[in-house]
Order: sequence, then C-alpha cells, then structure tokens
Amino acid sequence: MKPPPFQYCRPADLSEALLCLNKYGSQARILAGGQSLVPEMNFRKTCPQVLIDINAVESLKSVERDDDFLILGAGLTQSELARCKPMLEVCPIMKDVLDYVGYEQTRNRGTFGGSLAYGDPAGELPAMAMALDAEFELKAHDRSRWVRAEAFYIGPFSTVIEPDEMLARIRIPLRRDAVLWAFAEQPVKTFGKAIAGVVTALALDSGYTVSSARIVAWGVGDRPLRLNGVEAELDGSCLDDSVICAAVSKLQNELDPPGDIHASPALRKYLAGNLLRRSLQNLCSESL
Amino acid sequence: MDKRFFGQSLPRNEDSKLLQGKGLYVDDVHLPNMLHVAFFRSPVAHACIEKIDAEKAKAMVGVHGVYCAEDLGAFWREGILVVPPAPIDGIEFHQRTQGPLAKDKVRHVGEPICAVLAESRYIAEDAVACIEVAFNELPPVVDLKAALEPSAALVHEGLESNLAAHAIQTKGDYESVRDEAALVLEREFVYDRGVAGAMENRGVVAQWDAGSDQLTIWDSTQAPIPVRSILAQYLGLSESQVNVIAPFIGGGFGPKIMLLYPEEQIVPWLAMRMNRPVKWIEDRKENFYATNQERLQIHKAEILFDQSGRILGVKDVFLQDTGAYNPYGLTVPINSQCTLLGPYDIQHYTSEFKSVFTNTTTVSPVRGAGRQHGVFVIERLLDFAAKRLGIDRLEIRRRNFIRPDQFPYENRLIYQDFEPLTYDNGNYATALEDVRRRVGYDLFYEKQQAERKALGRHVGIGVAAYVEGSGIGPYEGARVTVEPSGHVNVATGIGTQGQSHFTVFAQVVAEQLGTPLENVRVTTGDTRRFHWGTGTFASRGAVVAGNACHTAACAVRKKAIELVCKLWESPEADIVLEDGYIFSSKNASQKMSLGELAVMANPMRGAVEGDTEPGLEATRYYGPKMGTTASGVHAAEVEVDLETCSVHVKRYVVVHDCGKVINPMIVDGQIHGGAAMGIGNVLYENLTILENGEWANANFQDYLMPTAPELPTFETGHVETPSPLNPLGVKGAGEAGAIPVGAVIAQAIEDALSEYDLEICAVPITRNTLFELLERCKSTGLPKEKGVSQ
Repeated sequence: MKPPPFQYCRPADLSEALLCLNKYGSQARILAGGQSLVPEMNFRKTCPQVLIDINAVESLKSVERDDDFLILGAGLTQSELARCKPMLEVCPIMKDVLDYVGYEQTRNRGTFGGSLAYGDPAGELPAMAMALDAEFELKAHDRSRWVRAEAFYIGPFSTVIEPDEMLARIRIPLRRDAVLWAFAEQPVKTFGKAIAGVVTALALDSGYTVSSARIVAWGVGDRPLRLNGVEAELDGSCLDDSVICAAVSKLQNELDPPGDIHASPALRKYLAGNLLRRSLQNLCSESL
Repeated sequence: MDKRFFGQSLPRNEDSKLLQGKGLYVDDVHLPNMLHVAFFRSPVAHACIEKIDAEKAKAMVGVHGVYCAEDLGAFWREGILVVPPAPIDGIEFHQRTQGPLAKDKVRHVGEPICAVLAESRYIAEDAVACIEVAFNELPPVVDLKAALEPSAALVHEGLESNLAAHAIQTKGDYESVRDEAALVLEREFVYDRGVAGAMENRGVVAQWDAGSDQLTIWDSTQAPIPVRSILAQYLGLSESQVNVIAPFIGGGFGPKIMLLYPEEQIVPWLAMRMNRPVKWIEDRKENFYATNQERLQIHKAEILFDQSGRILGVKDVFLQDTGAYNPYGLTVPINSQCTLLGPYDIQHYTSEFKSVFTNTTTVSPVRGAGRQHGVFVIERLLDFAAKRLGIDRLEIRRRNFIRPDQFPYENRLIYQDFEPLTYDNGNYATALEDVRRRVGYDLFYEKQQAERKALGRHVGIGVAAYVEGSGIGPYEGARVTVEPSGHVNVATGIGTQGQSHFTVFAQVVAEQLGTPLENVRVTTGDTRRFHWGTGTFASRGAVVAGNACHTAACAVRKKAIELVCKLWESPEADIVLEDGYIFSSKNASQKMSLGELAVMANPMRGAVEGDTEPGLEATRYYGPKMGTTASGVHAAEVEVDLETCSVHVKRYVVVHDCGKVINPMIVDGQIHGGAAMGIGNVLYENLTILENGEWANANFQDYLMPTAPELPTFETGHVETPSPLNPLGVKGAGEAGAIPVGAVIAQAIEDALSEYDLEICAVPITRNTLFELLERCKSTGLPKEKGVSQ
C-alpha cells in the first residue's frame, strides 16, 4: 500500500497554486487534508502525477461576513469549522454534524473545501452545503465563477469542477427568517461512513406554520439529494404527527437508494424515513 | 509466606516499555543495506497461470530481482501439515498445502505468485504493478454448499470433489433415544466468522551473517521454535545456525501460529541468497487476503428433550469451509464438534462434519477456533426448547449442567489434542448463579423489562454457558536463573502477543523466589535464549509455560535452600525467601541476598559435584497429559432500536472459571478483549464474499471492527475451580471471552423483541439481517415443530 511516484509542489499563495493547476490540469490533484486522497493513492486507486499541496496558502483559511453572506475559505479544517462562531450562528447544528465527519484525528487535517470537492454521496458536508443553499467559488488562473451547491454535484464523487479549477471559497447566504435546524444520521457503526442521513431546515411563521422547508438527504443516492417533494409536503403546513407521517411516506416514495453490505435499498429507505421522522419530531418539540 | 505474588492484580512489567513506545516490533527492525519485498498476488480466485511476464519489473532501477515458483528450484515445496488429522475411526482426510509461491495454479485471491526484491517497499510495489500474468480463469468455488455439488469446479485437481475431510464422532446411541423424546427440535444454523484483525499485521525480517554462518529472523509468529526448526530444514542449515526472534507482537489471535506462511519462507531464502537483510511487512489489504482466517460453518442440528427439559441427545451434521488449503488439519471442526456438548450432561451424541475446499483464504484457528460455532448451536437449541417447554432459560441450563460430583467427566470424543475429551472439573451452576445476580436477572423480569416496554423501548437479556478445552500439550519449558545482581532471568520458548507473559510468568517465579516483581526479567519467543517448545495457542500459555516456569522456580528455590542449609547448618523449615533475600527465621545473622548466594553457587575455586549444575539455575519442562477445561457463563443486556435496526450492548457480564487466577487484572483484560472480539464478530464484522472470490469489504472502512463507542462496560467475576491436572491449578483464559457471544447476543435480541417471536439462527447479526428478519416476521409465522408434546 504505497503510492506510485508523483511530483509534489507546495505553492505559497493562491495564484501560484492556480498556475500549477493550469500547468498540470487533470494530471494533478489538490492536496488539502489528504484524509481521503492519500488512502486512495496508497491503494493505487488514484494515481495523480502531481500533488499540489495547498496547506501553505493562508488565504484559504479566511472567514468573512458581509450583509448578505458568510464567506469561508475552503482550507478551513473540519475542526476549525466546528469552532467557527459565524458558522455556528448561521447553523448551530454544524458542530454536531461535524462529529459525524470522520474522526477527531481526521477532522484536524481534513478540510471543509476538501470534503465538498470530494463529492462523497454519503458525505455530510456536501449535503449541509446544499441545505444552506451555499455557493462555491471555483477559481482558475484566468477566471472564476460561483456555482450553487445544488448544481455542483453531478454523480458519485463527481462535480462540475474543471481540471484547472479549484474550490477556493464557500459563501452561505444569511437568511432573514429564523431557521430551525435538525439532522439525524445512521452511520455504519456509532461513527464512520453514513448509511443514511437527513438534514432539515425549517422556517416557521408566528402560527407555527412552516413558511419554508429545505430538506437534504445523504447516503441514499448518487449525490446529496434535495427532497423537493417532502419540502412541498411541509410548506404551509402546521407540524403535527399526520404531517410528519405524510412527509415520511413522501420521502420513501421519492427515494431510490443504492444497496451495499451495510444496508439494502429497502433498509436505506426505511432508515431515511425514520431519520426524517426523528428530526421533525425533535423540531416539533423544540418549537413548542 | 507473607508477600504473595500469585493471585495479585499487580501492574504489568512490560507497560513502562510499551507505553513509552520502546517495545521492539518486527517493523522496528532496521538494518543497514536492507532490501524490501513486495508480492504480486493473484487478482483472481481460481485460475491456471499461463504466463508470467516480469521483464519490465526486473529492468526497473532499484529492483534486485523478481522471483516466481520456478526460480525457487529445490526450495519450492508444498507446506507442511501443521496438525495431522485426529485418530478418529473412519476419518477421511485430503491434505492440500500451499507452496511458497503459486505454481501452475492459483486458488484464492491474494495467493502470492511473484516476490519482488527492491531497494524500498515503494519501488517493490511499483515493480509489482508492472508484472503481467496471463490467467486461464476457472469458475471460482465460493459457496460452501454448492462446492460439494458434482458440477462444482475442483479447487484441487486429483481429488474427486472439494471434500477436504469427513469425520463422524459418536457418544452413546442417538437413534435409540429418539422415540423417547417429548420435544424434538431441528434447525439450521449458519455461523460465519471473519479475520482476526490483529492491530499489527504480519512481518518478517531476515539477516544472514556470512561471517558467523548465522541466520537471524525477526518474525511476528506465535511459534518461533517450530519456525526455526522448519526453516533450518528447508534452508539446509543446522538448527544451531538459525535464530528466530518473535519480539513484541501486536496481537496473534491464532493466524500467526501458522507454519509456515509463504512470506516466512521467501524472506529468509532471499536474505541468504542476496547476503543482505531483507524485510517484508504485510499491509492491511494483504492481511485480509493472505493471512489465515476463520469462516463459515453450516450446521443442521437436531436435539431431543424429555418433558422436564433434560437433553436426551443431540445430532449435528455440519459443513466447514476450510478455504483453499488445509494446513491446520481439523482443529477447527473438531473443536466445534467437541465444544457443542458444552457444560451439559449429554449421553447421546452424533456429530458428522464435512470440511470443504473453496477458492478463499485458508482457514485455521482464530481465537475460539471453532468453539463459537458449536456453542451457538447448543445454546440456541436450549433457548428454543425453553420457550416451547415453558422453562426459564437459566433453569433449563441448570437442569442439564454436569454436576460437580460427576468429574472427571468423560465425553469420549477425540479432541483437538488427539486425547479422548475429558473435563477435569467445573462449577457451572455457581457461575450461572453469579451471573444471574450480577446481571440482575430476576429484577429485570419482575419489573424493568415491562417498564421499558411501556416506554416503547426494547431491552432484553441473554445468558449462555460454555466450556473451553484449554492448555493442551505437548509441552513447554523454562529456565530460571538468579544473577549475581539478584535479578532473576526467566526464559521460555513460547511467543507473546499481548498476553502479559512478562508479568504473569514473573509472578509465578517471584512467588517461589521471593524477589521483587520488577527484578524478574522474562524473555519469551527468542530461540537464542530458549530453544525447546511449541508456541502460543489453545489458551495454553499460562497452563503449560506457566507450570514450566513454576517447576523451574521451585527447583531453584530448592537448590537455594539446600545450599544455605549446608552453609548455616540450619533446618530447611527455618529458611525464608523474601524481598530478594534468603534468611533463617530463627537466626537474624543468617541472611544474604539471593545475588550473593548465586555467586556462591558458581564458585571460582573448587569443583562442581558430579550430576549437579552450577549457579542458581534450573531448566524444567511441563507437558500435560490432557487439556484442562475452563468454563464460564456470559450475559448481556441489549437494547434494540427498531427505527434504525441497531443493537446496542448496554452491559456485558462474564463469570469465568480458569482455575487459579495468576493476576485477576490481566485475566479481566483478556476477557474484555475476547468479548469485544466476540461482539465484533456478532454485530459488526461481516466478511462478505463476492461471486468472483474477492472480499466486498477488505478494508477497515467497510469491515467494521468494534471500537470503544460500540463496546459496553464489561463486568467480570471469577469462579476458581483449581485444575487437578497441573501444579498451579490454572486453566486457560485467552479465548474464553470470545466464545459464547453469538449465543448471548442472539438470545438478548430475541428477548428484547419478544413480541415478534424471532428465531435468530445465523451470525453475524447485521443491521441488514435484523431488518430482513423483522420484515419476514411481520409477514409469516414461525415453523411448526414436528415434536411430540404431551
């Protein structure tokens, strides 16, 4: 389990990193935390000819906030993200979600941007980005663009990122309405890879009626899935047992999950439904 | 003696070194000029090798050679049969062992075909990636039942089928009592196990010293002395030229007792050939494919009960997957066969097994070594019967226990040590009562379970009993030496893989010599220090090597006492050994340190009398005629979350009888580790084969080793029934924790979900299987018994 030879470069700033990326394109991989990439290289499943180590690029650690957005550098480690106050103000559950991202040791290395760009369909952070309606800044040496999380993922471990682009920043819109967050995940063990997970962001109006629902599931499709049908079921309704039941059966109709040794498609569907039920029930008791 | 060592929970001698990271493991051996080996392993399960093209690999810079079977010349030979078939009447056994590199044919994924020698492991693996082998693929034989069908492909040509062995053992006459039964139960049981998953994978470093004609091998083996003897023979060397050192080893659990793995042969051969040190360290992926493991058995068992719940007889027919080769003979299925009888007085028993070759990794013992399978069958049958007969689960066990006045109890079957299975002694009902009290069994059913059910929670208790034939022969030895400094050296041949030998053997010796524990230095598994013995297996370290240490220490004590008695002209009864001193309890002036006495025992002038030996030293051997029978009862409280199909083990109680306990803290640790391994086996680890013979989960992301959050707090109790078979009265403890866990957890889950009337007949019990079982229960009922009910 040793990787084949590769070139290694460690640019000092973003422009140098982007020039490297332009030079090597698809032969290169960005090394951020390396917690998924390096094991893949050791298994020789991924054999980049060049590794561009961005750990020296300080600007990728930025945390900025303006009137409309919280803007985070892609190089923040998952541990840093869990301690990032502006992030937790926007989404208090982020800290708890991050407990499920790898392990303490891997979170000290693994980065926010790395998880987002890796595109693991069972990953928590891509789904969270989608629930936050985040946008990703994709930079190349000669251009940059913002892509919404929902449009970013196109398949398992597959995104719209071009070979000469890298994910530089993540911007999260600051909502004016009060949002209630809940998530539930079933990993393969107490921790570890997710079998299924669901995050729920609900805005309630004064009469406890759902004014806006955003629900994203992971581990149950080829990418994080926004559950539009479930959202529609909840929008405008008053959360009670019958609404929750309807939302759960909507979810089970909407999903067509894959199976593996950890869970058959039927079990995944069953789990996702129960996780949604748990989240909504928790929100129900919280909002009262 | 006031100061006792034996029986005390003393801190471990080895901890200081290990906790400071100063323990030497094989991978810590770095020698100048060392070369590294990587193996090209078969990517396919079953194929003929058509052509090997290694030219590109050989031409790579930094590569010192690529070797395949034909390059080994006369060194290539089929491996030895480590354990021959037991002397059972009518036994059929087909020996098929593996050569160091596959010749002509590969029989499982991961079988080594070429060895690449290079300047670094990196270069060696790059070269492996350049090797091209053309295969003529054959159908992979991976399904245990289908492997015996006439249409199945043959794993080994020259055999009529994939049958590796067939044996029947009987006790009494099962058929004669079948008509008397008030209840007949028949079930099929599937018990699958996985990899041992030692923290440290295997590794070998070999160094040939052309100056002294000595070959030194650091090997992660459980059996350094046999490795030395076999390698000397293979390499045409005298045993005195070969030194095998088994340093600290990060877990053995059985697979490291194998003699010899291909890599253990190739690395020393290359070191001699190149006259340079050579290293190979197994990686985790190799470990999943190339290190022996234990796996599937399918049992079809029938049991007969009278109305009171007494077992009249048992009939069991089972298949055992032995993998691609069977170097370890029939230890695993014989253990299953014999251990099924458990602590119960069963007079009529018929057991038949077929061991079957498949295109999978070779099977040899893993902690428990087949006992799990047998225990699962009998314990599950007792549970199902208890339900039908309306008898409490603990009560049905108590009624069937062998009573203390029935020992020695003869089961008459031939056991893994080739001796008729006889239990030395046991106190099974005492252990059961202790478990009942500790787990709070009565209160749970009077009150707690109903309260929890009312809250919608599913909590249940499982209880199961087992015996473990342990501490088998042939023998081990030990040499105890008192140095002039007063330090005591103990050397024994068995290897150590975390069993605390540096402490428990020191305790046994200190008990006799009265020296501070930290002054007793134990060396294990180094043929340079002690070169007779077998190895660490079958929960035998404390029993066999421990008693050898004890008898050697007793001999040194006797020697010391005789010497001072002569010197001081005092009676032996007055002499005391304590705190590193030897003195007379009657005369305060008669006192000296053991070190001073050691100097006197090795004088610079005068003569050593004939038939005596110099120094305060003795070497003794201990060889038990038969194994001792350890036993125990486990209980678990589990909670099932139906919404996530998760099983949470809340508490785990073990009451264990390993005879006299040398160090309770260490035995507790052994039991915790074993039970953790059992919980992993039952609920998490799930080695899954694909149709092509690859594992679906040969990595620790998908092969779920239990870690701290998955494990409960363990509570242990000890029943001490000293074995009458050895001077220390000890029995084995190493495997006990892992043995009955499947039966315990299955019963507890059924109890937690009593409204579903589940029957769990298969291990592992994964989230998937629990979900399917519940879905099935919702749609269909239970099978009807054909039994007579009055």
